[in-house]
Amino acid sequence: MIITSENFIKHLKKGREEALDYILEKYAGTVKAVIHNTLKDYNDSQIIEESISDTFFGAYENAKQFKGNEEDFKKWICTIAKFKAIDKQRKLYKMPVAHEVEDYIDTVKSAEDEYLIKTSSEELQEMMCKLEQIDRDIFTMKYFLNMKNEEIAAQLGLTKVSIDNRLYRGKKRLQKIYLGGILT
Amino acid sequence: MKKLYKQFNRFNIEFDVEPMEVSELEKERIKRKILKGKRKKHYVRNFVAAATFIIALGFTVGTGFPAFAEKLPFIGNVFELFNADKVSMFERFDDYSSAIGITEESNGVEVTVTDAVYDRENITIAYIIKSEKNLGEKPALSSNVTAKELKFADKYGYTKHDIVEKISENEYAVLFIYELIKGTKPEEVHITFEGDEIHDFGGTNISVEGNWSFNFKLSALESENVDLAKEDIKTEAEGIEINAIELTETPISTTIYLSEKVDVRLVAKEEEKWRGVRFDYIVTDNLGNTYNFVQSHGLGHSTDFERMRSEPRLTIKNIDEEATSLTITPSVNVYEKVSGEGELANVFEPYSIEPIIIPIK
Repeated sequence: MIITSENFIKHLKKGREEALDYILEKYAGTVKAVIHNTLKDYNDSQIIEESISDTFFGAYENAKQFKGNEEDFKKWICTIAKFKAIDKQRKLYKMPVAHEVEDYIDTVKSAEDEYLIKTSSEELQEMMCKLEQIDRDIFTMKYFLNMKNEEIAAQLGLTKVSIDNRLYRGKKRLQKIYLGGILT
Repeated sequence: MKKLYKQFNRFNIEFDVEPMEVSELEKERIKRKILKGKRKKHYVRNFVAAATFIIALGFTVGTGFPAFAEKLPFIGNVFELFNADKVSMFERFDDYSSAIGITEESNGVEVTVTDAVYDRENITIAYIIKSEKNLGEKPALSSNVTAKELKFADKYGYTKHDIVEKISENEYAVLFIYELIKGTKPEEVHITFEGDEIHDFGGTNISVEGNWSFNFKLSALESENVDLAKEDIKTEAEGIEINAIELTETPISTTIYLSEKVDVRLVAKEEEKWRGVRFDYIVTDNLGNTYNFVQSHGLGHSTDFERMRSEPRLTIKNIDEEATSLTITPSVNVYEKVSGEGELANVFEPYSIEPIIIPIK
């Protein structure tokens, strides 16, 4: 069997090792670059390599969740890479997540923000189930992919202000749900 | 987590980065890590699936069943064909099976399902392949069995066997045995038996594509279970423990469930390299009868999964009514990998250990 750019997605979904070889060969460099951009401050090649493994492992295990063509696949695996890099950062938590250093309404990180950054990806995900899909998307981009509010706005075709507001309200909602849960 | 991957798919985010250099060594390390992670995960989750070493599962093709009369003028019942050998395990199948008699033709190959039987342990389907084409020595349908009642077994708990006999120049009889190992064993199964390829398991690479599909319903035969686990019936040798855990008697066959525990390093006398261990069994009774069987090997044992239990299963014909005990003699095979594709070879001569003796009441 020969894996080509036309059939690798199909074979990857079937869990074929050859397809894994193919995506490693084709995307390892790009995935590494995405991860390196996020984790370069650690200056630790092992951390980067682990994140690359986590990325390809995630893509291989969850290939069935992917829909689209070769080009979409590249975006998908890069998004996973970004997520894995930030996930790694959360786990290491040696230094604050470098996020939002520009003119955003919260120039000083709020307590909720601190909390959301420190919480593990798994906990966060569970919490986010309570949000509507659009807010879930915004939260995912913000906290799992460390995207700037402007970038999120551009991605979703909304204004930055509406992203700011949605994040603000979403955080309050989560706080209410979770603090409420603790108090009652 | 799954949800997240789906979500990422929807995001459609562009990444504008210059690929970085990844060395071959790095890629190799990454790949190894992924495959290792995958195997581990599946071992816990998937009962029979990925984790086995290559020979542990899969197709058993016509071994132990000597050829019968070369030309038969008329085929009555396929099970009969496999009974030419006195020790055949299919003696009573004929009496209990349901006649199916459905023929499907595709790409110049005619497949007729003649009979089928289900006894909660196995689904056995007999069929005949006819074609003017050269199909090789032991062709069989690369088939799949599905039934809405068998959701779990569908995915994890089964083993398939094909036993093939050439009956004339272009006619072959096949017994397809689908062993239900884990999961539900319903009263009734609505079976879809289908295949998209006829493939020669006799060594040539001949295959014919097509589309053969059969639907029929089978009701379970009565069966009786004997729990042996509490009776501590076992055999032990250095690094090996094999227990008999269950015996099931149905009108057509007897199935013995075993549980093997192996310290592969100790048995293989090897500290570093990969080794696999597998048992071959010989089944006899106290009257001197030898029984042929269909075996599912379970997970097998290898240095990838140290000290894991493997639960093989042997299906034999019904035990002789006069017999008072069954003797199961394990012979130990130690394997090493001889090629990158996972081809295995015996490291040293197989040796037998003390048998397991199951009293029959």
